Amino acid sequence: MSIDIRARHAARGLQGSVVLVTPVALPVVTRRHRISLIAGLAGALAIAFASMAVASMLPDTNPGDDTATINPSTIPDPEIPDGQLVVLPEKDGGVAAPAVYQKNDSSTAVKPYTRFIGTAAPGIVVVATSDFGVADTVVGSSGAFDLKLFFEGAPTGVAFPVTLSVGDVDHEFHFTWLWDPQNVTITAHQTYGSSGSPTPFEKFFGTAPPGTEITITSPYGSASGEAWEEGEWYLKVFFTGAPVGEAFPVNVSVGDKSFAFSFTALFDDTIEFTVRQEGTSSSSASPYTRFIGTAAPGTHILVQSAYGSDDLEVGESGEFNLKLWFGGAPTGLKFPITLSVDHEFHGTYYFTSNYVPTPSGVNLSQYNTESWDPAPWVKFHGTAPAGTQLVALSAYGSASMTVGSSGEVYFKLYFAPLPPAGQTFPVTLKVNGSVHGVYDFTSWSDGSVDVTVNQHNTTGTDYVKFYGTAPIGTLIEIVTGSYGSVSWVTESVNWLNKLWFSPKPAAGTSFSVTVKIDGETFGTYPFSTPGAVPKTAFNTYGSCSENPPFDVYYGTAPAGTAITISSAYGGATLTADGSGNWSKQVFFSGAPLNEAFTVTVDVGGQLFYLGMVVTSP
Amino acid sequence: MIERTTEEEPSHLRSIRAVPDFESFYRSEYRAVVGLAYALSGSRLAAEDIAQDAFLAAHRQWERVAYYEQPESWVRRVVSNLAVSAFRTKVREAGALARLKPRDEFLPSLAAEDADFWKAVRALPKRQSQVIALHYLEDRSISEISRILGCSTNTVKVHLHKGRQRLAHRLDERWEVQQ
Repeated sequence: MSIDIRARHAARGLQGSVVLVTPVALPVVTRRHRISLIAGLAGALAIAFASMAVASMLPDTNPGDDTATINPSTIPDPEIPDGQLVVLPEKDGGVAAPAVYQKNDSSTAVKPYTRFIGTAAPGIVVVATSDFGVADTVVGSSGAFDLKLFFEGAPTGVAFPVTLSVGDVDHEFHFTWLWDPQNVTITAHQTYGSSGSPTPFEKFFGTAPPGTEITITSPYGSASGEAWEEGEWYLKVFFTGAPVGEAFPVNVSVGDKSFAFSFTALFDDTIEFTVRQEGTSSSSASPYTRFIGTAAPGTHILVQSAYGSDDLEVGESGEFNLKLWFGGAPTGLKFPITLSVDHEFHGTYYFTSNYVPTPSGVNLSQYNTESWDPAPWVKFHGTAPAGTQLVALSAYGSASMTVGSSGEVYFKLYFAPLPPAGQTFPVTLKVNGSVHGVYDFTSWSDGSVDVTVNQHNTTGTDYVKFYGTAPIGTLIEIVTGSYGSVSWVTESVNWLNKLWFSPKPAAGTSFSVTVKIDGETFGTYPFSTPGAVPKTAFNTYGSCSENPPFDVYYGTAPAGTAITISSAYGGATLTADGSGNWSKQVFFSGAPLNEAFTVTVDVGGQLFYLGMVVTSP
Repeated sequence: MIERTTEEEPSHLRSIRAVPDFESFYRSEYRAVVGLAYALSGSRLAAEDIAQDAFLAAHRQWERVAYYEQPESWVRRVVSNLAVSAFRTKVREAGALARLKPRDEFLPSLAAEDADFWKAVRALPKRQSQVIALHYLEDRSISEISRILGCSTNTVKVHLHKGRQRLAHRLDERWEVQQ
């Protein structure tokens, strides 16, 4: 088989077994989920709450009185309807087995239970309920289930009802607890059989009628007690002085029955002395090292250094773990530690503290934890003493700064190359060489960039400035008819450029500036130099109750500019005077009462739309 | 007073297309995205968590993602990145297990030889496993994979070639060049 054939087979297998059972629709909380909730399943509660929390962020596909949209990932929604029993044929192809049956309807055990065995659609919730216990399960992919329901506090000798809910279908059963305390079977069991502890012990347990006396005897220890009301018993026996590695007999008497066991003590008190040091350097403000090893119980271990000492006596376990803290250790200096065993020198160990005190007054926070920007950055802000060195490190670049005299910090790290979308990565912030914190950051951008153009200034004498965003490599042109142009290819997603006018436009000049993106016009933007008369138009009243109705229009425009006022009910033409002003009274004959209409004013090609309404006198 | 100008509209406004509906997008892509996450993470539970995270991220910024030429490629890129970290997969799986305990018996299982194949895919270097999964599971072309993963078509070809070579070696299969 070629790798291609095998790969495609594996792809079909995965799609068939996993992808196709994933619900496409956002499912709703159905009855079987509620049953699960009623059954008190903490997991189901978690499903419901977590799902609804997520669902609140997703579109609601089926809002209804009795349903709630939930996370489709949390609960599978098999295509088989809830509660529909699936009867699986027997393996030999014979008569179909019953869908549900009760394995036992009575019990003489101390802890009684009943079992329900059956088949149902995968994913169906099966719940057994009674006054004395509840149990549940979810039918697996095989379609079979086996549910055990334990009862607590049930009456003896009385049949009581048990309901088994398989999906939406309820089945009624009964159960009777036939426990007779005086007929409890006498049993005895041993837990370990041996022990490596310095003080070895064994646990024995079993069943017996309540009050039955239990006695445990051995050459090295004994114990006694009696069976509890529930018909169970438990005793712990310590063995002292038992020979190492030699099994010895232990006799357990439960009422008139005896049980023979054996036990072996494995503890050897000839423990070899071993020691190892864990941690030979630390950047912590509270540095320490550990000495871990084994020694005979009672052994005295002493560690001493110029910056801290400690000791201990080895306990019964024969193991020790001594933590030695250092105070005032010099940064970067390797200093010795001597270890003594029972007041005799054993060896010399070393430790180095790399702690660099953080300047007091450092208070830094992460400003943003994620970004959709195609040029993503993380910012830290806060305060720190002047002169503090800050360094931000990541897999996608680093940055550093020295805090200025203001003590304020606005520290940005731009990531390059672009981090993979959706992948959270750490950013380490160091203060004066010591790690101040590690912060997570996630970039969601896939690198695509929208083209945006913004005009910085609409008036001036020397230049016009534009800024915006565009994919790297975009050709941007700023073009004017008579005052020059500039073009360039972007090298970052954020761009900014100025067109310096050559020649400079005369005072009072108005003209358009065109911005082209990759050769195509993106937009045309107005620009004027100081002294130019702006084109404006205003109305005086906006409404009129005179007969005939009229309004007075006025404004400014360069001298000689043609102005046209027009509407459905009247208009006028005029030119701006030498001072740049214009004004005109316009009558509107035949205009309807109380119906607003538009008056258009064309000032040298620039249109203004003004409202007008005629009212009753 | 109402004032309007005759300034020309920017060309990008003229090219705006209708915003796709998130719900339709979700319904059409969810299964396939879970499948991709499952192939790359090896955990059904973690796969659903990963897919959910990717779709939630898309939903939060839907007005932006919807304008991408291929929003489905973006979701697959995010899922590919989220799914390849073994540690994060384990964390997600643990979280999902805690929430989904009542249904752990319902987990579907793959046939042994298919499970072996995807296990071998996950053992490949990150980029190779992503390319192999997109190529075989989603039947994506070289150019589509390059768009999804944000790399050149030549890079995809190299990863596909090396990935198939390694898979054939690990799975002891005959390797035939069928690019």
